[in-house]
Amino acid sequence: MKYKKFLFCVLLAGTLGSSCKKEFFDINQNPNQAVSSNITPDLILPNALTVTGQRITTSFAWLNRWLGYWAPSASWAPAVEENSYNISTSFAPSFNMWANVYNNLFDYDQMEQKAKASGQQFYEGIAKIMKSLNFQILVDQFGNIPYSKANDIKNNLLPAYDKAEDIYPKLITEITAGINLIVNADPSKNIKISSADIMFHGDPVLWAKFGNTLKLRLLIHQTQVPGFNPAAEIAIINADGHGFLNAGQSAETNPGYIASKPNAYWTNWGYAQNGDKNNTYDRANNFALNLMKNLNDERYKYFYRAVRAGSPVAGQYVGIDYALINALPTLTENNTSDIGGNTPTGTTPNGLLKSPTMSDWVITSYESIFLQAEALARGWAVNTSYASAQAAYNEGVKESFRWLNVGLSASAANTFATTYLAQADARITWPATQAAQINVILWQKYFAFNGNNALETWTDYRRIPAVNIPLSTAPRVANAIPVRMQYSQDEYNYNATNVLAQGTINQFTSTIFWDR
Amino acid sequence: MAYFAKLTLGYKDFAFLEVGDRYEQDSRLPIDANSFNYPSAGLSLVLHKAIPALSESKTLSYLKVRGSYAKSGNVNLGAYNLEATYSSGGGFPYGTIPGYTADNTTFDPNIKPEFVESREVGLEIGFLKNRIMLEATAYQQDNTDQILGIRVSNATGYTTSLTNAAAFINKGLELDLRLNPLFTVKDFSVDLKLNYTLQENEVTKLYPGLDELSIGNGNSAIVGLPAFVLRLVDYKRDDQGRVIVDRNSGLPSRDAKLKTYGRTQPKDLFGSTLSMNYKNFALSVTADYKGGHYVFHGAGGQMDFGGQGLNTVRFGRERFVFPNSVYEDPANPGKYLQNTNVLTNSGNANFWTTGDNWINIQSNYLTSAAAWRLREVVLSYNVPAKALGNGKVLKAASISLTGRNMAIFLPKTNWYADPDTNVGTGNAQGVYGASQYLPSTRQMGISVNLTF
Repeated sequence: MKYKKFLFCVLLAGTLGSSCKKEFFDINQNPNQAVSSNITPDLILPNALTVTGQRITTSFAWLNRWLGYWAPSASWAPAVEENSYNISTSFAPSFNMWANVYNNLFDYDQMEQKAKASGQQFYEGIAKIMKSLNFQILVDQFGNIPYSKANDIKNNLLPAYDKAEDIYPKLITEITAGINLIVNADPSKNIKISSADIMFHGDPVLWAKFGNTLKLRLLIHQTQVPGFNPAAEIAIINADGHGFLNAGQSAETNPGYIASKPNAYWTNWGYAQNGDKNNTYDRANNFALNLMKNLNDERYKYFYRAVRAGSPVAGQYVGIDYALINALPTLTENNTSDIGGNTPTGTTPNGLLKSPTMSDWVITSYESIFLQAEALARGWAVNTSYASAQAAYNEGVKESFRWLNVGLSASAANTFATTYLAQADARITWPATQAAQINVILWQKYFAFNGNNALETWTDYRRIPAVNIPLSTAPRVANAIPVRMQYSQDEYNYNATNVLAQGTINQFTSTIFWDR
Repeated sequence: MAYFAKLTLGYKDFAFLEVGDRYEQDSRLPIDANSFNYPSAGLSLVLHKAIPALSESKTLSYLKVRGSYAKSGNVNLGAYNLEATYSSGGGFPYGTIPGYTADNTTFDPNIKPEFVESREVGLEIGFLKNRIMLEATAYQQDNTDQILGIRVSNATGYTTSLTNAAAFINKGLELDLRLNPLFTVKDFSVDLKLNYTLQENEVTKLYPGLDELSIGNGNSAIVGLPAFVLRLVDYKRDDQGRVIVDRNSGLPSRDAKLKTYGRTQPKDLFGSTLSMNYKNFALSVTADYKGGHYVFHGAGGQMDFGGQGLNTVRFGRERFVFPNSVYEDPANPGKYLQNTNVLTNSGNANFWTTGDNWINIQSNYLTSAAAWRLREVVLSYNVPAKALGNGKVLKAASISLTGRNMAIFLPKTNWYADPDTNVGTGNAQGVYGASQYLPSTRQMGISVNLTF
């Protein structure tokens, strides 16, 4: 008999778990961070509004340069991609815009869902209106974008694109729904709305006016679309009856900026906490500066700043042509005008750079008034506070002066504006024909939006090129300002099928639907 | 928490069977599906002991065959990786006002553990009293439900989704030859060890609805191709692969659509160690090769932007005809004519620093990642016992000179950097060139060992 040798070994490792209960493993609720299941609308809204406000004040610098407001100092290396108009899918401003606006949109979307589930209609309404504003910002730059399939990763890992012309009407419908939710909301159910709403502090009337103003902006954008008829939508606005944002009612966000936590626009283009000027790149553009000087427009001193001390031209307002490179060594940052106006820390707020604790503007009162002026000039049956298109037009110009605090008081601003408006010039004087009236409104929007609303200036320019904006002085790939941005390279990397379905994008010819 | 059982059986010192099973419960998984089980088994037969005819052979001294199967599960997740989180927004809180924003990664609440099923067969054979040893192994690994962070469109609200995203197969063959010694002449002996690995893999399945999955750093998983392949920005080209340039400016343009390039994991690995002994001297030289894969050099564009790059002087800083280019035939739109005379509008900084002319075109910086390396050279000397006074105080003494990373031989096209000098510290080697890197270090040392 052979002896069979067995090697036998049993190892039992680990704890004997017979006494273990299921709860032992129920530790997946993150104790360190807020999560989707416990976040509440009042925790999302302040940041979401702040981000939207900061986007509008700080993210459109390249458009301010393309559109004749700003120009880089000649002492910087040229930004060839920007000044040649040869923008690509990785052009930083639009690449970041795509990522950041969708990021912001998702926060509003989450807030909307949370608010709806908890019956907080005010928050839900705000989410609808602010989503529409952000989608408008995207459509006006990119055209077709993911809209109906956006913000839904569970069902749409690869979000398909909606046509821009289909998105616009949906934005308007959503704003209407948002206004209705807000004005019918029970304030007691909307926890902390007055502090979390850092734009209107829970005032439903101002939100309704804001919604109507945004709708009017969307309608005015479409004026050149053949067959466009705003009548049905105007009727809804009139029926709502809250009207639009008027003088002194600019929509502005402010989470509570303080000197030690200042406004981002102030620190980017204005002053560091020690009082030094922070921006040496963006200077006054000769085009806008000289136009305003020639038209005795006092506002140039509030959009730009006198050359700093120590320069041979100190105290003067000196601009530079867009994209001049090393051609004139005198046009360095020390010999040209900063942008933003004259406010040093601690004086009466004025100009664009008002103070370290200034708010971020979202839609300004004068934009709203100019929108009403154009609607009236076009004969749209819209109910406004103004007797005529001309009255609205005059008020829009005056409100721009007042917003900048020209002369450091409202009465001084009115005086400067009245003197300005009294001049006989095709860019100022209210004309007789509708086409000329619209033209003069667009000229005045161009002046008023200097450095503070470049996206709308670009939209107006693409819609009706009333202002003859000069081209870049650098070698260009075309003799025209682009009419759109390229989609983000991230889309070509991570959502290729859907972005490629939009066809080849040419920044000079692939127009947005309202651009005719 | 895990339960683990293992059984090992041996029969007559020539047959061994090992079976095991592991059952795990992991709190990182969803509470209702947090347990998983995986078995393993292995059998080896030492044939030269089992078969009398073999045990008597003079030439064959060792023969073993083995086979194994193993499944292993892994929860490649951090803690709390089931629900998306929120963080305080920039600047917040302002006073008493809090503000939160959704973070950029989303998780799968129904995530499953990832499994690897490995099958392996091997043969070990020795000749002439094991002076020649050959070992061969073939394996296949099926990786299923691999947990990966997928990069997604910003329009989803997130940038990354962590989920069971891919399945792929690894296949390979390993050969190991030891000649010990290769030859001996009096006091001089030489040993040689050689090994070769062929590794092949293929993505077999991706997250439903995806035909391609980007894992970041230019790396993508595409069904039917190796995991992973580079997807890079290239020029617009005609159907013959020639670069399309503008008829007036002579400039190429970027194709927004990414193109698929080669694999980023090596296919062939070869290693060798040669050891020589002469009396008290020993010299050992280790060299290895990795090849069959590609690398993108992220620093290349930065070097060209700054003007340090070799590319920037390729055409003497003069205007030039873009190599292998065509332009659209004005009389015949959609047809292309070979470009022999349209010069780029610049050949100096204006050309090279403009993103879409050159530096943003990632395919310009793609090279083979193959490399031969002289990994280590060690020369040592054992001081003879006699010289130490026969071990009264000092029992042994040796001195050795060591050099590591002594030399690297790269293909001529790769004048950028060691392809292993790359992003991150993990498995990203040979994957994607970082935008900045230090040269690899060469270490040389001397060591003295004294035993008292």
